[in-house]
Amino acid sequence: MSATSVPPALQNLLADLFDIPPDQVTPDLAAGSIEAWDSVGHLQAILALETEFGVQFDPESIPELTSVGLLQRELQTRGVRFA
Amino acid sequence: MENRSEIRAARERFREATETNGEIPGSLCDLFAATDGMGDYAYAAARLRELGPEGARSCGWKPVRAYIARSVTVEPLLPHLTVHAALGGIWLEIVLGGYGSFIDDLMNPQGVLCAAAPDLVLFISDVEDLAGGLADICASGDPEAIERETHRAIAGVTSLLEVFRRHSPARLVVQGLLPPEEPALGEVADANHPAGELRAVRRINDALAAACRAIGDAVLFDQEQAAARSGRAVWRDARLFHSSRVAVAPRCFRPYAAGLVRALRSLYFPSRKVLCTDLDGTLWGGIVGEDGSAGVATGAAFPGSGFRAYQRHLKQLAARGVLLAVVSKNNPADVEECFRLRAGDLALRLDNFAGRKIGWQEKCDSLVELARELSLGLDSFVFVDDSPVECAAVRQRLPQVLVIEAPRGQPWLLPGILSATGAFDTLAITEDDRRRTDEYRARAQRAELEKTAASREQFLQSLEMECRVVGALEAPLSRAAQLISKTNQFNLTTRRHSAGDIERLSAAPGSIAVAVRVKDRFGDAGVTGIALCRAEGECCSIDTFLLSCRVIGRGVETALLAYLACKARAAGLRRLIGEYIPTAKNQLCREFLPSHGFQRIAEEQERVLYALDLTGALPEVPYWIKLVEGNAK
Repeated sequence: MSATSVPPALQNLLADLFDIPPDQVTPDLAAGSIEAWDSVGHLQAILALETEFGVQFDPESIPELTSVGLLQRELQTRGVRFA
Repeated sequence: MENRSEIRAARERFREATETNGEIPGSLCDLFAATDGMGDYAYAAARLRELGPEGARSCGWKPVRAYIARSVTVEPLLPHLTVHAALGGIWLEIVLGGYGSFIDDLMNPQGVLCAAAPDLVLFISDVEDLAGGLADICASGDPEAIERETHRAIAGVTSLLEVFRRHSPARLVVQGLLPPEEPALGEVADANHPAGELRAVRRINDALAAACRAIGDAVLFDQEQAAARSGRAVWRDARLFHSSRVAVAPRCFRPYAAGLVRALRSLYFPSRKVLCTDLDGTLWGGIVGEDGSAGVATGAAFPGSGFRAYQRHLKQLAARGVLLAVVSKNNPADVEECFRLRAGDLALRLDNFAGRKIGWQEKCDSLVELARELSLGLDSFVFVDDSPVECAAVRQRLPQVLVIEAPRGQPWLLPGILSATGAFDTLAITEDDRRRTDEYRARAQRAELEKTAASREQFLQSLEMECRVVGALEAPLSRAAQLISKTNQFNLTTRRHSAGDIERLSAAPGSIAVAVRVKDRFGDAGVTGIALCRAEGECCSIDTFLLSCRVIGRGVETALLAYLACKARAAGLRRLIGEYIPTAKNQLCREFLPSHGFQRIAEEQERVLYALDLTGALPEVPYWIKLVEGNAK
């Protein structure tokens, strides 16, 4: 995936949650690679994605969604259509 | 989802404000009127944190260091808490206690909580942590076993809070337990059985509230009520509770944070004191000047019933000490006739209103006059009107006034809107609150007499005033704390001591901590003054000296000062030290000490110090006042 392929809605939301500029939210940005994305940040991101995109993740798969690319794919599998 | 471009614009204005030190509180308020997005909360909370306590102060917010003692996962909702606290005037610096270490936090004087020395503690737990065995025991339906377990839990939580108070003076918010969605006996049996689980949990919550009252500076946040408002079924997401111990569903973070903040604000801010209401289209439907008394909508039948619900809400506010006022553009005769002819359909009489401005002048001018007549600041006023134009005019000219626009054609929404502002939230309702409207009516009678009395002293003498000095703890303490938290005008030092501070001060050797109760032949004004003094060597130093504006100018202030001087001399002290700390509102008492024989001894940047030689002449109790000590039998 290229650096520009994160849909803006996802990019802006994660940028807000991790308090980083949107252009740093690339598909390969991964849990643990920035200070804000620790286990608490991960939970926060999961709850925000569920709420904002109206989906529910399977609690068992949540710990495995450790990069922006994986989160995006999971959202798409659950029927989220990015404009 | 709200209008995206509106949210984007509000975000942009907030960002600009934070970067240029602009109108941060206003833009924050606009932003969260438009959005409840999780990203917006995270973004705004991060910007608020960056302000630091100094930046927060310059926004007019009160910085508060809050420690969260908890047994559940609260991290995801901290941005909501930070934002809603700021919307309510408090800038929170949050120190998060360890997950599940709440017992050590609350009970260990050498623990992490005490070391953090917070101003405020939020205690957030779940029924599993305070009464974990309850569900299984309730399932048996054995009333004795349920009673035993409930008592055990009550004793546990009560001692938890009592021990906490022994080593921490911090203000405390205790979250009430959430009764289970599915009680162990099933809904029908639980409701009908003599000792159901829901009732047991509610009794534990009652005990938490009682413990809060007993330890002081503590408040219960009624989580069940907040959950009921949003809907119990959506309040908790069992999936998230089991997988992450997140006890509130993310969709309910906003009402949760707003409810918690409403409770904690009552520990810091006095409630507003006056509600000014419009008449036509607000208190009743229609326009009395056009539709006539018989034509306005009010009464038992729809649509008048919606207006009567608002009238009843006002009457309830008045019963607990909120002063009501009419601010209406009308012919006074029309309004008087309507209150007379429709008395049976109105929940209020005209004399339920302590202030009346009925005429054709601008409403802003009416509000300013009311503030003067009632001797209250405009920042204690709430203004309700159905006209967007009147509302905008008041918002613009008198920004201190809280303006509520009555929803046109939906009067039944108004009580809920008023309540949600939290403007009249108070921790305690005192005897003085219940008497307030009568007291203001007595004031009007006194003003009448003052016009007819030949001289001022003759007038004062005819009032037959009695000042009764009692210990500050017997005021009672809740009333003393209330006066200290809200008196602005006749207040020499404006130190906002907590109930705990008052207790400590009055226990100190040589201290004088008293309250004064004032009555005259028109009525009992109740406890209206406080003085707190410490002994320092040969000096007695006045830490706090304040009087409610209701009794100023009748010699009570002189009587109280004379009492202090006399007590200090009797204790063998040589000097009475007083200080005046100027604020935006206490100009009134600037000359008080020098006009009573005090000499200026030092002038510092933020205060002026005075001293009175106790070996010389002392101020005297005015001859028209009878000063007595101790509570009346």
